[in-house]
Amino acid sequence: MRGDREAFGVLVVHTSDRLYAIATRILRDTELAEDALQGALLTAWRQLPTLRDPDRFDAWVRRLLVHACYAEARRKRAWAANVRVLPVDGPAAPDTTVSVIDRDALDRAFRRLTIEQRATFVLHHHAGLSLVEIAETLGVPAGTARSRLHYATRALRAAVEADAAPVQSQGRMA
Amino acid sequence: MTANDDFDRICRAWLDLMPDESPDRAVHAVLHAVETTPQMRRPWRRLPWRSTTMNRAILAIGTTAVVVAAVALYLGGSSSSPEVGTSPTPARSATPSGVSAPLPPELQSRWFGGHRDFVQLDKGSTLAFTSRGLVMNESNEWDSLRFLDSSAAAVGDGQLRLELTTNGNGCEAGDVGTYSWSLSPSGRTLTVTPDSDDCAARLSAVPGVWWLAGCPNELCLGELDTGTYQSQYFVPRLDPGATWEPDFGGLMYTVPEGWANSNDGPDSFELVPAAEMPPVSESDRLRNIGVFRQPSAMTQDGPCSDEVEPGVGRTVDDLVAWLQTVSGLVTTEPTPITINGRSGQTLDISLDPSWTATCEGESERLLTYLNPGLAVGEDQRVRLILLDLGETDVVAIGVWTRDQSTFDDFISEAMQVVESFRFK
Repeated sequence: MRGDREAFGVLVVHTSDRLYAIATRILRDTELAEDALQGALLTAWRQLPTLRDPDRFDAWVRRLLVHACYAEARRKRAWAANVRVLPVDGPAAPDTTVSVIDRDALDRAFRRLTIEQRATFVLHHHAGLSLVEIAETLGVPAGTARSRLHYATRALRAAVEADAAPVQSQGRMA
Repeated sequence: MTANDDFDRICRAWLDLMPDESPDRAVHAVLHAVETTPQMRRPWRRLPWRSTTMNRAILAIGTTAVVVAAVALYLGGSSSSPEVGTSPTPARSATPSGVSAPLPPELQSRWFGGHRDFVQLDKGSTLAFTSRGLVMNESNEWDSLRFLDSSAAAVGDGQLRLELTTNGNGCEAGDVGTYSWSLSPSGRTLTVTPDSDDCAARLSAVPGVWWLAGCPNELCLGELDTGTYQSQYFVPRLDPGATWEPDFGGLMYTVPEGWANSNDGPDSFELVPAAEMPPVSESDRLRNIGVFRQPSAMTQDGPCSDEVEPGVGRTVDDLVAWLQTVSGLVTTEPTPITINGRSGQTLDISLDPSWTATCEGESERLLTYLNPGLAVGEDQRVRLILLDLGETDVVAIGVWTRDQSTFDDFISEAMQVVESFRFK
């Protein structure tokens, strides 16, 4: 058992950054993402003996993470009243190719998506997964993954295009 | 560069703004927790029974979808049977006023309700609001069976405006309806009343009382207000191996303040004190009430096998007689019990202190005794109630505490809830 824990510790160290990056992008909240990461990894530890194919570990733990993100998002929605606003500039260097207007528009539009749509969008555009891989991760048919991605893309594109119009003046969502 | 390329570039750059490195404290917390967290090797390792959940493939969790169910339950704490499936009479013909705005956050959730005309069989329905939309679904088809997709906007204090976005159900895209809504003080019970609607199907489907799908996975209610509720997925008469379809109201129950619904699945249903809902993990729970469909004797030939014991009948009398013969179980004398007209027997079960066996991967002594997944561990105690539902159907109810010293206090509290149970 000691060896199991040490081996799992290695897996945690190797996967936590990648998983955390997905969680922060889905949840747009670093604290919730941290909770989701911990929840997913602990679930992975508890259920590891049920994983029959070690080659599937990455996909399996990614799925646990996405479901942990769902749980965090819904818990926040149901049981928390306040919304934490993310720092506009995260630890990564600001990308000057994204204007402040675009950032605000995308932030607002993204928060209006369902958590499932967010996850699909992030898995595709950030993690680089194909629709088939996304469907497997989320446990939905590929057609469902496609429709979620389509909806999310359409909504975000509309937000960027709408905010490109000079007449709008909107404050930050708080 | 095309517009698509430009959009993709902006999105990737925007996504890249978020942090990539997990905080050290998060990693350390996981590694520390792993030191004291046992692994799951058999399904019954954490609780005294296995909580069989729904086939999640069937439950294709979807986008904005959700079902509707129109229930007009009554939630006033009465133990009498609620009126299910009726809709409130239109209260007034209000003219929306004010500027349309996104729906308030407290509405933007999935809500459980009863049967609606567009739902097959006796399934319930769900209603899902996003900030600017509404979708209704069958309770177990969150993606594939959507109905009455509408855009939604807040148009006044406690009012919302719905505009159908697709043709269907005898309605046309663009049909507009206005509704009034209110939430219970806890925010867990939503009441929708109609003002007017061009779409008759929506007018009959949306109004009613809706319960927040408050569990983290949105497959059960979570914390409950005082009142009477019905299960969404549990099927008390489901035979092992039979095809499952949700049956709204398979179990009706009434709770006082302080309870939560923590599981609602094809094979089992669970209520716990609200204090034991997340963030308390299942493994840390101390007390619960479990309900199980069609119990059968679990063979004692091998450790923790979930095979059925040959030769043991499935009537209440058969099961009670067999339980008293199981080596390792300490049982009290069975006594008759009647719950809302269903008769049965009840007995308390604990583990014989001399029992030394356990299940694979378990660190503590454990003995499994009834399918689907009932087991008892050291220092635990269960009040088992077997009820005859008629037509050879039996349901098992277990009131369980992890610590025998808390059993008597919990029993007096839990039996008030158990005595409200009504099975379809």
